[in-house]
Amino acid sequence: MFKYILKRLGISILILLGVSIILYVLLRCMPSDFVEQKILALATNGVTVTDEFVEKMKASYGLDGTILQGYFKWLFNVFRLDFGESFISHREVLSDIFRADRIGTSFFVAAVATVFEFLIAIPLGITAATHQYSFRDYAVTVLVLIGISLPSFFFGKVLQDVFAYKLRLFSIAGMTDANLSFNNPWDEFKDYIGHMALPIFTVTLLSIGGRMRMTRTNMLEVLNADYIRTARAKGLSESKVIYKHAFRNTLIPIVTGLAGLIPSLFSGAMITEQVFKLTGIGSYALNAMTQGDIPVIMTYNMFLATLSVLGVLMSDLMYGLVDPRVKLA
Amino acid sequence: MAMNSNSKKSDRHYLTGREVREIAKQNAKEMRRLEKEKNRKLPESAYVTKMRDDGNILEIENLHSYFFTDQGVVKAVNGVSFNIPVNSTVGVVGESGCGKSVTSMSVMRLLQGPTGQIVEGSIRFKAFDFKRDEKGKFIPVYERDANGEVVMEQATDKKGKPMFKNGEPVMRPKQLRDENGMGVYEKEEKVFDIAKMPIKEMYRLRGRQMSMVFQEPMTSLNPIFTIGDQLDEVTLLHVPGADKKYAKKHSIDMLNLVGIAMPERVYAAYPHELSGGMRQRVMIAMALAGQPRLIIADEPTTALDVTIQAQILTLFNDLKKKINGSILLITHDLGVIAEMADYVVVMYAGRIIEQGTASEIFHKPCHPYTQGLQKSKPTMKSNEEKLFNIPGNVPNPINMPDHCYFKERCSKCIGKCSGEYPGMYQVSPTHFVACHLYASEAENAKQ
Repeated sequence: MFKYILKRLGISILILLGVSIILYVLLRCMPSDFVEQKILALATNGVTVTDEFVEKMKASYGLDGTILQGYFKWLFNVFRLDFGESFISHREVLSDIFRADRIGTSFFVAAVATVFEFLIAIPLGITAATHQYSFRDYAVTVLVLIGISLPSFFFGKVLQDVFAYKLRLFSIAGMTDANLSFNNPWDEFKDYIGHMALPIFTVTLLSIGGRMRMTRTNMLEVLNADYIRTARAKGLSESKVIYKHAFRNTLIPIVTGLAGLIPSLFSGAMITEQVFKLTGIGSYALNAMTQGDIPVIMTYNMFLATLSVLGVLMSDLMYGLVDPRVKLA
Repeated sequence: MAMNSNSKKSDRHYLTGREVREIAKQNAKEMRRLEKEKNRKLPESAYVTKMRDDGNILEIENLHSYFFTDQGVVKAVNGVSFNIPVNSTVGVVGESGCGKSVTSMSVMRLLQGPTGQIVEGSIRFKAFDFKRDEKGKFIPVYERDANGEVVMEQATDKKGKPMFKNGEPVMRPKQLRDENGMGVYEKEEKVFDIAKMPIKEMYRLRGRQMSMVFQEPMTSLNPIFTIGDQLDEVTLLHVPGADKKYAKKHSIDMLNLVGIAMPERVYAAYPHELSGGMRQRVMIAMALAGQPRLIIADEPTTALDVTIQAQILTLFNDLKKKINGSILLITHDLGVIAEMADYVVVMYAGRIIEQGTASEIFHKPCHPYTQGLQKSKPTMKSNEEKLFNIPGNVPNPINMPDHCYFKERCSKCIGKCSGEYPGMYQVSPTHFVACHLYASEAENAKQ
C-alpha cells in the first residue's frame, strides 16, 4: 500500500511537470502579453514609446528571450520555492494568493456550498430514484434541471434583487459593510455570513443538479440489480434495502466524484464572485488572466493541478476502502 | 380494464405517436391505482382467508400479473391457477418468457413496480407465524413444571445482573428456550392472501415463511458485504432475540448444511471470491436460514455447469426432507423436473396448458406443446440425426389472439381451435389439459 502511494506520487510529479510546460507555453503564446498591454496604454495616452524602452520593460518582467529559456527560469525558481511576484500588484505571488480574504473567501463559499450540495442532492437523488416515474421524481427532475440551466450571473442578480434589495435580508455585494464598525466578533461574523449567504446559495443551487442526477442514475442502476431483489426476498424492510444494501453500492461512484471536488474547493467561482463583488480567488485569477500576469496564473493553475492529482490519488485510495473488489497494488 | 387501445392497429410493426401517448396515459392511470393499493393500510381481516384445501401450503387462483410497458400491456401471467400440497415439490416448466418467473415473483410480491403489477387473482399461503398480542408483540411461551404451573425466575437487567426491589429479588415467569438458547414464542397457523396484502406486511412472510433462490448466483449477492454479513442478516431479522454471536453460529450451520467445506472461510469471504456453484450454495443457505415452509427455486441450476447442477439438485432433495417444507421449482429443464418434482405445471404464453403428476406429464403428455417439448429432449436411444423442434415462436405478448395461443405452431389443429380459448379439461383425477382435442375425452371421463 505504502509502495503503491509512493509510486503514484512519483508519477504525479511527472504529470505536474508536463502540465507546467503546456501551461507556460500556452501563456507565452497568448496574442498580447502584459508588457504589450502596458505599452498600448501608454501609447494611447500620447506617450511616445521607443523600442529600447519596450526591450527594457520586457527584460524587467522576464519576458525577453525564448519561451524555453523563460520556462526553465520559472522552473528553476520554483525549485527554490520562489514563485515570483505578481506583475500587477508587485507583491509575492504566494502571499497574494494564500490570503484569508482571497483563497479563504473562495474556500469558505465552496466548502459550505459543497456540504449543502451533498446534503440536498443525495437525498433528492435517492427519493427520485426510489419513486421513479412518480410525481415526486418529475418534480425533482424539473426543479433540478432549472437549477442546471440558470446562468449564474442571471440567477445571482435575481437573488440580489429579491433577497438583498427588496427583502433586505442579506447584503447585496462585497465583503463587509463599509459604514459599520464592529464592537465584537459576533457582529463581525454575522456581517460576514450576510455577505456570503447569497453567493453560497447561488453556487449550491447551480451544483445540486449534476450531483442529484448522478445519484439518481446510480441508485436506479443499483435498485435494479439482482442483489437488491435478494435483499427484499430475505424480508428486509424497504428502508434497510435502500439505505444499507443499495446506498452502500451507490456510494462507490459518489466517493470517486470527491476527487473532482478537492480542486474545485479552492478554484473559486469566477462568475459568481464577480456578480457579488467578492475578492475570492476566482475573480482574482480571471483578472490576472486577462492582463497576462504570468506568475499568478502559473502558480494558481499549478496549485489546482497539484490538488487534482492528489484528488485522483485520494479517490483511488477511497475506492479500495469502499469497494472490496478493488485491490490496490 | 382498458388495455385494448391498440386493437385498431393492423399488422403494422410500429406504434404511432398518438397510440404511444394513449398507452402511456392509460398505463400511468392503471399503475397509479395499483401502486396505491399496494401501499394502503388494511386491517388484517382484509387479507386473512382460508385455504380451499387444507392439504395445500400455497393456492394460486386465477393470477394475472401484467407489465405496463410503453408498447402496451404485457400479460405475463394470464389466469394461472395451481396448488402446492404440503411437503411436495411442484415443478413449473415452459420456454423462456412464458411467465414462470413472473409467477414466482408474484408469490413473493417482488415484481418490479410500478410497471410490474398483480392485477387480479389470489395467492393463498398458509403461514406458521408468530402469534401477536393487541400491541403487535410476540407472545412468549413459559416453562411449566410437572404440575403445569408456570416456572418463575429472578429477573435480570440488560447487563445480566439480577434485579432487586426493596431488597427482595424481582421474579418473572421463565420463558421456554430451545436448544440454541433462543426464547420460544407462541405461533399460529394463518392463511394470508398474498395478492391482497399491503406490501409492508409482506416483510412478515419473506425470508421467514417463504424464501427464494434466484437464477443468477453471480449477481444475486451484494458485492460489498461479506457472505457472513449477508447470512447473519436473515437470522437477526427472523429469530427474535438473536444476537451477532448466535447469528454467526447459525450461518455457519447453514453453510455446513448446504455442503460447503470450509464454512468459516466462506463466512468471511466476499461474493467475488467464490465460484458460481459456491455462490448458489450460499444463496440456498440464505434461503434456508429463516427456516421457511416454502422455498421457491427460480431456475436454480440454469447458470451452473452440469456437475454442479447435479450437486445442487441432490442438495434440494435432501433439504426438502430435512426442513419438512415444500418447493416450487421453476425451470425449463425437463430432466430436472423429472428428477425433482411430484407435480408438474406446464406453462405457455402466460397460461397453464397442462398440469398433473410428474409421471402423467412424462408418460402420458396430452397437450401437443408438452408432447413437442418431450420430443425435443435429446435422448440416448434415438437414432435421428436432427433434434425435433416445435416450429414457430411464442405469439407477441402484447396482442394475444382470442383463440388457443398455440394454434399457429400446433400440428394437430382441429376446426374448433379457431374458436375461443380452450378451458381446462380433466383427463384423470389429477391431470388437466387446456386443449380442444380432449373435450370429448373429458366428457367421457365425467360420465
